[in-house]
Amino acid sequence: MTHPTIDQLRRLVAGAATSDEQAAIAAHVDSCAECQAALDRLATGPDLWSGIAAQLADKSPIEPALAQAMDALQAHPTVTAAESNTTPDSKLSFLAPSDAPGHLGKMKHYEVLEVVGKGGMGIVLRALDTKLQRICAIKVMMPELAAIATARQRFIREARAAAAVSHEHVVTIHAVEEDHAPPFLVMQYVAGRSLQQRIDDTGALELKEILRIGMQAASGLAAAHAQGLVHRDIKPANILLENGVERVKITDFGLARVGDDSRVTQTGVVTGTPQYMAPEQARGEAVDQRADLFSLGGVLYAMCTGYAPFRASSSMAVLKKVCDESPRPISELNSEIPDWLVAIVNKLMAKDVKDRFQSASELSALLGQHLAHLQQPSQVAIPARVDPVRSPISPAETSRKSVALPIALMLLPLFVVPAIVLTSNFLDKGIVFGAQESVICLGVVGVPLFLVGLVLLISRLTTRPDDSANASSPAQARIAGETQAQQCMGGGCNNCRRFVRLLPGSCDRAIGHDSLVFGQLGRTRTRLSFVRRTSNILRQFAGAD
Amino acid sequence: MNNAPVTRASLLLRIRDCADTQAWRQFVQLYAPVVFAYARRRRIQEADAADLTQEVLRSVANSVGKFDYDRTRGSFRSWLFAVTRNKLMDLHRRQSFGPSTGGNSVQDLLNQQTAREEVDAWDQEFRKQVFSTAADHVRDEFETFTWQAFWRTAVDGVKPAEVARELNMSVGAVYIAKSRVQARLKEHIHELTEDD
Repeated sequence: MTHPTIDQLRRLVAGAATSDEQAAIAAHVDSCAECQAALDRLATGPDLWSGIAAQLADKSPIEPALAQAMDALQAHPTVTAAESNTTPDSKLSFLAPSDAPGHLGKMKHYEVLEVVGKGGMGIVLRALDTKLQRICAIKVMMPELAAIATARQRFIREARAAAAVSHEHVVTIHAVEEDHAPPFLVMQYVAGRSLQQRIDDTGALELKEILRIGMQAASGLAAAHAQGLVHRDIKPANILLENGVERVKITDFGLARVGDDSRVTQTGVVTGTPQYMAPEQARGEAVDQRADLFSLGGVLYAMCTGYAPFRASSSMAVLKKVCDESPRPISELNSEIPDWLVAIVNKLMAKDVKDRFQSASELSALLGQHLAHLQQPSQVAIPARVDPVRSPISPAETSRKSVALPIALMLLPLFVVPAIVLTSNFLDKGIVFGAQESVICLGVVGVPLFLVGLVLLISRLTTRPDDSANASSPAQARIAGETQAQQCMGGGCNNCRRFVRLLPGSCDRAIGHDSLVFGQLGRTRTRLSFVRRTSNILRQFAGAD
Repeated sequence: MNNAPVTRASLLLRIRDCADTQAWRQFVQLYAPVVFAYARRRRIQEADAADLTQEVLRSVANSVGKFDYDRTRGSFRSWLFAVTRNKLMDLHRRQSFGPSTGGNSVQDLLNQQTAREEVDAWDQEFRKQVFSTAADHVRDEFETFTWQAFWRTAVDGVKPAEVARELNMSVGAVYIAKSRVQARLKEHIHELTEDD
């Protein structure tokens, strides 16, 4: 066959040739180098093609994060981050329209029936799992939080960890839906009320109820602790009581941390009051399972008295009390609570972790024994009493102590000088003290001592009790010490560090956002003034955690 | 999924219509990886890059219908680049603690980087994504063996005679398959990059 014409080749390349035509040309091109080159030229031209080929060959697999972002984008073209942040009406804008009338909407295969609550971290929905045909509770991460990568990762991580706990007194987590924007977790739906609502409704609980709820909560905690989990936010609102039997179900494991890093960058406000927080947690130190035991002690206290153990007008003031003060004695608020239970609560709420019960299972067993004894006194012996914990110093005691020393100094000469005189005279050695020598001795030794005592006393009395309490508390002293130095503060970016000078006593670390700087004590943040010294870059920021 | 190619100009028009989910899907498919790759190259961690990508594309989608994007003022490619850069700076402002005058912040590194280098990298990523999107679209228009013959010779660089043996085709058929796919790809790439 002769060479095909250039028009024939063009039509072939454009896909316009008939199959007969194509077969005939193919047979020719098989062995004709000239026509092979002509086809290449017609198709793209070798120069242009080499660039394209290199890029095509380089096609890398889509990273999972990108794939998720693309899915989220394709699923929700109209929801913008700005909208979901600002418009209150769009709080539920992440829901897809539902097919069923009367439903709020749906997410994946969950038909959302109603909003049952709002927490610091997100909103809680009651929903129907259409695949399994069961009612479940869904906790949706707040869009503002979900927009922050670290918070989202933490949400998923904590939810997964909590999902590993299976216990009758812990709310079961069915699923963690992370490939949805915003992510959500699917939990067992507990019909009932929280312990907080119960206390609000009825005040202090009956002894048997306190023991039963305390025991069940402790055993739920023990199961989670066995998995290495720390709840971090044990409080009556997180202890659910199932309708009817009021079986305890602990909820929100680990989720207290999700908002920790990020909330300040969103609003600068920390919501909620840390009334049940352990002192080490309030100071921002590392916590372990014993922090949950402190909080559980607070819950027991609330059940005994009807009130949270530490109450004050602001979170900051609550935290100060958590760290420095003992709660008002239970016996003053409810005389019906037996001493042995007071001792248990006090041991749980010991400021020093070493003084507390060391495990939730130990506590659960003890409460169980007491409950058994109450129910069948003749068959079950009352357990041994818990040793009283050395009481933490209350501010009143602190000021009394601080006045005792100067007064003692002032009174000292009255005893010491006659003692010296008498002793010397009695032993009849060296100088014999007459009236004159005694007066000299009193003047030399007594007057300075008296003056020193007087000065001390005046200074003690003019200092406010608050300050003296601060000085005597190790936590406050540590904070006060640190504030003398410049504090470094870091951000999410890799290598910027700034310096601020903290207001004395206000906080133990600083967190900043543009021109806003917050001092942080535990989870409470207060706004600070700060010194701009941007040229000082001390060292690399050591990660967001 | 119907992958029928649409030109980008019409894609930009079509995404204004919220009901046109297909256009939106293609839009995301084409541009999300470009933004993502750019952010990743700026050492933004994966999850943040994914967030940024969402933010950029949503804001673009919102602006396309308004006046922010004016075709007479420049190419869509460079406009998308500007939006991405701005959002990236926003991200740093949001993440960095304190005023961003600190000498060695990522943002400053960004600023210091020569504009030329930046634009080149962006263009490169953009081209790559256009090519691979075009390939995705065009693939469905051809028989599997035609596509394979094209890919093995034109992309993998294997000799046509060898590919012919592999695929049990004649050498001529391999040449024709290769040229047909290449021509179609070139055409589609042109459609996708019309106003750059």
